[in-house]
Amino acid sequence: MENRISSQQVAFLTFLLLLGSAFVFVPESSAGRNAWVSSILSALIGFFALAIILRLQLMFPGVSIFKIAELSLGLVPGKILNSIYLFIVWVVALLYLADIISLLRQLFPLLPAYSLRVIIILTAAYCLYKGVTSIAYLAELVIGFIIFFLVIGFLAPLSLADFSNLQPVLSEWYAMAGAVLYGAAWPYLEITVFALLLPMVNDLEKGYPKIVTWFMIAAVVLILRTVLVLAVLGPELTLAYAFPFYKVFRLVEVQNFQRIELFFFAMWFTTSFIAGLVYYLGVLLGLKELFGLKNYRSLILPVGLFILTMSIYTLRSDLYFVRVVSTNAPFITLPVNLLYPTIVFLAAVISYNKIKDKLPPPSNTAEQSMQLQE
Amino acid sequence: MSLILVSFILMYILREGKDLIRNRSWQEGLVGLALIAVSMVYGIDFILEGNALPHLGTLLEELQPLADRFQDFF
Repeated sequence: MENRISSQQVAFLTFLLLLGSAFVFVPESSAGRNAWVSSILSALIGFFALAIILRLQLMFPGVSIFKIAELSLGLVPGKILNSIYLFIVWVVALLYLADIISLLRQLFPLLPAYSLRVIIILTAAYCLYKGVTSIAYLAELVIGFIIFFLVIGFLAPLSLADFSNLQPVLSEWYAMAGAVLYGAAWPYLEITVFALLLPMVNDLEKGYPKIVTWFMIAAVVLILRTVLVLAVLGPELTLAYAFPFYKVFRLVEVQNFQRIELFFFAMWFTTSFIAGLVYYLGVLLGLKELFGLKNYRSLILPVGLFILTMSIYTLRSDLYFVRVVSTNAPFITLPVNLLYPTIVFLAAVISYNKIKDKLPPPSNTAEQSMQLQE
Repeated sequence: MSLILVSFILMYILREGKDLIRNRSWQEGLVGLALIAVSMVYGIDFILEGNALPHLGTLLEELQPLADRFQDFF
């Protein structure tokens, strides 16, 4: 099980994670016709989080954020903060699983949700057994196909778009500001999970601009998605539908062909699955760091079972998931995803020299792996 | 649910049990067993329809007044 990845691969994973399951929803839809402005503001908050985790990793190459937190804040406060963050990573993993299931049940309403959950978790466990490098290769493999369908997906419904639905621009400031909470929490701030993966990157110092670039591409895609959905459905219907982008594709007709949204199902499923997979990996890496384990391989099945049982126990109906869980989750995920890296970063900046002294040289995984090869 | 629990535990023992014992990875084994134990407790409660244990939904339900006030304000 190899555990080294390149910046390019992380950049692709960033793109896929951001599209994730949020692509078919419009989390900022409560802002009405200005949801696209909320998307832009949410992207800026996400960019702040990305900048923090990249800066932190460039300051301490190859050292995990959990270790930095413990060294800068002290062992006990660091462990407490790390545990809270790990809890949030686990919550988001549960939410991703539920998103995939609710999307699948739109297409296969008669399939039992339990079986779907087991299939998804076992598939993810198989990918994790193959190692982080294989997951990164998977991202490289699917990126071309995702971009191809994205281009077609944006062009196909253009004939239905009525851009007057977006006017007047910048009205309803209050709703717009409130919607930023939902947009920032999901998907932009979920980028913080990469703080756990970045220590595995070989060439972060040279390659981090690629990660930033693909983050920006994903943000542009999500903003265009919001514009297109609003233009086709209008603000009221965008808010009313659970999967507004899916509805847009259902409306598209090419000559006598209908139901062309099924062509795009593979794209949605792939991005959602990879986002869930990254969070599953995040839980494993977090547990490994928190308990100081040698590797996470032996935890893949227990964590899968834990996610599975808690998902079945907690999310007993789609209505409960939509009305309670996904509506209220941003109130715990957003503050933690925003504050955790910020607190660790500030503490690390203040006690930079102290941490450097405590770290054994060389701390870079790339350097260590090169030494091993030699 | 019982089928899920039994099959995952069997898969864990068959796939990891030997390696954990051979490498004396007690800490990894302990964390894995703790996760399985918690999963079993929740799984059995689900089978018995007890619904007595705290879960993520309980925490999020507590946040409902905050969410309502937030939505009213914005």
